[in-house]
Amino acid sequence: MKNALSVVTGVLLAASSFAGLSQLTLSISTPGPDTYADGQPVQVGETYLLVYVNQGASFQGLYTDGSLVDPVNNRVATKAYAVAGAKCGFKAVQYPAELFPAGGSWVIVVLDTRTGDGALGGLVAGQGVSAATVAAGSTSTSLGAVGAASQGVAGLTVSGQTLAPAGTPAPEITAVQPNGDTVNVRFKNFSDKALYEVQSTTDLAGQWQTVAKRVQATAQNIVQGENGAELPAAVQVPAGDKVRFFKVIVPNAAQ
Amino acid sequence: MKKFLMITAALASAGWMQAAMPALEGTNVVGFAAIGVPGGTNSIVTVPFEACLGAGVSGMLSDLVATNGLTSHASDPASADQLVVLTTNETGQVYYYYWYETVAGWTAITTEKLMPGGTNATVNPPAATNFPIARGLGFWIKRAPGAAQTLYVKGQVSSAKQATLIEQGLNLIGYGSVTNFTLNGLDWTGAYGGTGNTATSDKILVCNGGNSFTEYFFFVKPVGWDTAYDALSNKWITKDYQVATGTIPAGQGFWYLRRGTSSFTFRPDGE
Repeated sequence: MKNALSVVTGVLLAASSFAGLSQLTLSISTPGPDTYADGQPVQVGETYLLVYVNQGASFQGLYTDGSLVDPVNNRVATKAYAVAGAKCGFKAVQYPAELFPAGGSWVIVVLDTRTGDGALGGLVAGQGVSAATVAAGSTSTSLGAVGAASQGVAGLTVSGQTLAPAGTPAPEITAVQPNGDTVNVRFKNFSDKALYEVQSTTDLAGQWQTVAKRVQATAQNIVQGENGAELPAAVQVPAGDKVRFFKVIVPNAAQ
Repeated sequence: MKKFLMITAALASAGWMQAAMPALEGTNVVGFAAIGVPGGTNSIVTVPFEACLGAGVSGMLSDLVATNGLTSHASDPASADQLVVLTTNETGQVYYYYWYETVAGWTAITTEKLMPGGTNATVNPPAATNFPIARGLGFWIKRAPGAAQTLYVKGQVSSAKQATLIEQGLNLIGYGSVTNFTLNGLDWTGAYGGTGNTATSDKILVCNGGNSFTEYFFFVKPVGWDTAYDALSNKWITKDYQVATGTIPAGQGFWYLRRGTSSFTFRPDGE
């Protein structure tokens, strides 16, 4: 009798767990205008991520190469891109219900991939995160949307900085070439996954000023020095300097 | 006087002949149904019509769902009204998105199908002019923020009875009626009453706009239950075990949660 009851219970559980949808859908967009940390509107073509966050966890951010700081609890589901109006362009997705379980949440992450010259497509210098939307389950009867204007979401702002990947070597300046009000600095021990800043001062006991930001290695700008590959950075300085010092740093280096 | 009488008789005769001529009936009756769709919310609708000149034949989405009065946009789907259809293709369940593009009308949106391992694929819905909407299929209209509007669905009044397959799990369906109706006024042969408990029976969820739903449960009195339940048996009831009396407007669709172990064909007007 007990066995019979167990079988019946098992059948009931199996039946009840099936009652739902095999595929779920949601759409992403932002009402805009979304902005970078410097207040500039997000450029057309800028990248957004749709990230699934496991239940009980939160979004932990990105490294400068775009990889997740917490890949165990955060998953990039897809990418979308900015359209006119400085907002995330509409994108609809569908997925097997079990792929992103109910109880987790969704966030939209806007990236700042501007390079030093303002073009898009560089490493990720910063990120902005939307409020979390609870992920639906297979029995959901609502039409999912993340970041939509109808949800009362305001424009996103890139307010967080990304981290340099763990293991990024400490850079070492190999050459300084003054040329009027421009100084060409070259350094080695660089990674193509890290962003660098060149800082300068005329007083070693004083404040260092950032004179070049978002310096990053690409196939086009790496040069060969006496000690192998070197990354150049041209910085502007006052023409009449009698003395000036430089150093290269990796901001937000993971410990 | 005689001449006058003859003329009168001739006119009367002509009039009689005219009255006796049978009317030439058109081959079909067409119409529209107006459905209230609040701005900034999602509503489930259904089309109670079929393709013109096609008895029992599905019409195309672009023909059946009018765009007049709705919100369009020249380039941004997020700023326009959208239709979202849950249907099936060769891969199984699939969602087709359409948006109201200025001038172009209902325009398909390519969606991304997320797969395990990140091997995402794309889903390209058929053009709205080539996507048949069966009478009784339910789908979403997703209104852009703004004032409430009326959605017009239109087509030919069907002479065929509706037959809609309801499978295990959640189904988006509707009753293809051109008038308002009550659930208990329809034929629900095949609906599942479970064990008499609302947690085990088939369920209908009527969308009230947004994420609010009214739930109804199909009740079949189990053997041995009190006679007080006789009046509820084979009826849709509320969670409080009251007979469902709410009126559902023509053109409004709903979710059907099939808990029975097999599918059945919903024939609201009988066989």
